Amino acid sequence: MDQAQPISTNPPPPASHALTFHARRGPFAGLLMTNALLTILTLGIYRFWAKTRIRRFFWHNVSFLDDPLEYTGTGGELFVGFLIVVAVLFPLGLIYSAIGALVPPDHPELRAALEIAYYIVLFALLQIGFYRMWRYRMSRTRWRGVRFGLDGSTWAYLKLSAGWSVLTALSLGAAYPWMQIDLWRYQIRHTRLGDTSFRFDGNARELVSAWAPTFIIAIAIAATGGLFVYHFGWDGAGISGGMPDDEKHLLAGLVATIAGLALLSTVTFFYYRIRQTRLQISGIRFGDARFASAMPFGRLLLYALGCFVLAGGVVLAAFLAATAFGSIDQFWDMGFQMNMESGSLGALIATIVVVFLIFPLIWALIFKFEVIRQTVITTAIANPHELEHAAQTADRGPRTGEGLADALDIGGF
Amino acid sequence: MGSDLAKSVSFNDGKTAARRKVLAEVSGDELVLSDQAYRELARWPLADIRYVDPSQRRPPLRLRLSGTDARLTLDGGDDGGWLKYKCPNLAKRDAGAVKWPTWVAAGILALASIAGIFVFLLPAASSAIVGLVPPGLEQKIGAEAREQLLNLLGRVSKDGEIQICRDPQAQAVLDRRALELVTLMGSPFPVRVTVVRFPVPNALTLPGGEIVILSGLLDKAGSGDAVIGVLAHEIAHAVRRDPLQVSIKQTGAALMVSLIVGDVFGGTALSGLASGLIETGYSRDAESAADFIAVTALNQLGLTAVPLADFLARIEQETPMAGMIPSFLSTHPGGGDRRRNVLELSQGHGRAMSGYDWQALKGMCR
Repeated sequence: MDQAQPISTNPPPPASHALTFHARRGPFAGLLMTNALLTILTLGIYRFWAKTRIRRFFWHNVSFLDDPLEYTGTGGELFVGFLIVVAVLFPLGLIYSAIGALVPPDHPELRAALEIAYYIVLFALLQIGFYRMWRYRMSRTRWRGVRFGLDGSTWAYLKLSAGWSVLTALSLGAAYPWMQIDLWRYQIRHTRLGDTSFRFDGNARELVSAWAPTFIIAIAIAATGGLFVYHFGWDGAGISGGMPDDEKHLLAGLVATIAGLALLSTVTFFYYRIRQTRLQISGIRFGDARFASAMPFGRLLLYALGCFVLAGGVVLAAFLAATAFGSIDQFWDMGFQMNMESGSLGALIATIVVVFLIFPLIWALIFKFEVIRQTVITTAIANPHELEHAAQTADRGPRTGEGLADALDIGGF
Repeated sequence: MGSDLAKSVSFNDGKTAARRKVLAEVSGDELVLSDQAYRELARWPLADIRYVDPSQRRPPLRLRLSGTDARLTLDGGDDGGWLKYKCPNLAKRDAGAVKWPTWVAAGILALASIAGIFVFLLPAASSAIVGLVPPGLEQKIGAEAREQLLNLLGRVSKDGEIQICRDPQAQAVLDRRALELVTLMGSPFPVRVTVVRFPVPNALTLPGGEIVILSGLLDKAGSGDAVIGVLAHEIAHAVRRDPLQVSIKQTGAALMVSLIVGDVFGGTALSGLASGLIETGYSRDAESAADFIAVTALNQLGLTAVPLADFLARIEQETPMAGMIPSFLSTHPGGGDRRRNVLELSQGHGRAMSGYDWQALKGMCR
């Protein structure tokens, strides 16, 4: 655990203080297992309490100036927030379906408009939901008994996000770093510890070199896709077994190019995200206190790849075990109905276990844990004692958490 | 009196994020906090002292005063033995901010919403979406679904593969009648009828006019008129594009269930299973409409629908293990009403095929 403390190997400036992280993977694994078990047994309802336990675990294991963060949210708050969302979703859906039923079937342009409206509403809900989620989390986070909080208006955040999304689309993605940093600036400037707001002092220009590879690859993928459409049509209608050989080679080349570029772009985008996170943290100010981040790229990439290798190993081992025990054949003679049950059910259970249980567990335990750990231990704060001046405010934040209804400011529960 | 010795602890007063070293000692049923000059700062009733995190009880011990923002941290080397056995409610939790009427109201609204979504929203939305799918696309979907169905039937057969029955004479009879029916009903796409060897009496309609007759139906039918009657009913489903609507409805149901169940640890797969159980097969309305269209077309051809009605009733009686048949094979939850309606509507008296053709059809999978 102590080999990855770059802050302490380079002697920090005298008044700089690093965050510390005490969590270990053993207890985290236990927590993940019980959460998974209870979530399955309760058909998913336990997930609100599961999230709460996970947050409490991480929050309480992050310390600054010898005192840990404290998470005071409860699963019940999240659950009620969720119930309200379901109650709000229904009238919204009814309105949508009513409009859909009123549009005559011979007007495709009206149908298209309805679809577009649907996605606009979805986009808005997502942005609002995100900002309100941050508000809930901040209001349930304390340091030395003093609450964090989020001011600012969800509506203003939504407008900012919508404007930047349009700009980013018009620039074919070139403006993406500016969008991310500007939204983050809004979020951080309205985040406060007690009565004192944070500030953000960072410029997206620093991300241009990190964003360029992903941007260029995306353009290349689009160009290759255009070539595909030109030769084989939107739906691949031009593809048939009887194509001349040179067309077959072209098809194989195009598909391989797109697949290769897509794979490469996941790595370049991963690199960009690390650089973005570094900038996002390094730009945070609190009075005279200055944050700095040295989040590592190679190490986290290694952990991500390790997860896939490990998951592949689990699948291979399971497959070999199943083959060795010959579990399928013995069912053949038990009659037709039984065959039906065992065949499809066995495959279904295997898929559930591997894709939805084993991989997420591996991913959380190895990769996500490391991301949190690295984010914390590579963050240092200069002039840390500024934070001690923060004074408590009366604002206790929203009463329920993170539901979309709460996101829409409806009900005021 | 060792307990009278003041301990050095860290104190956050809950007003600022400052931390100060103070002296703490138990006095009666209170914990008295004072500064280094023994000036009293606060008195904490022992009964109101709580763990900050009840799951974290190893040193350094962190405590709070219930209902306040103040915090107390014992030294790392202090196991808190002098204090924690005198605090009766250390692990107790504060009452939640959400009161019970909120829970009840939210629960009722949520249940009403869920019911409404499944009963009204999903059927309405899925028929709206069906209108958006071009018939050509539906045909492609159907052709793919047919391949998958044949593969699935093959896997569950004892032989391990499915046999498509190819008898030119029998196929010609089916194709001719199918063409007549489709023409009368006005279909957005042609209909393809495939007969496969499979011992369950049923016929399946897939999107895009793909109809698969299982040979068990030929064995149980009793007459060619019943087979053509069932065929007319299935073609009516195809023309109404019911199979596509059902599959869209199932997708929506899966979405809905995944929202309720959440996406944590197997939620997605669970939701697929659950929605399969909730939204299987055509609605009663769709069945009645298909019956009506089928009998109308049979009337126009001058064919009798009586054997269809009898067959519907018989299938129901002779399938005591209906609950055991996988749901995708059991899309026809019949009923006395449906049989009566078919009988009332039926006007024709003609036979759908000659006895010679019926023998060929019956034997096409043997």
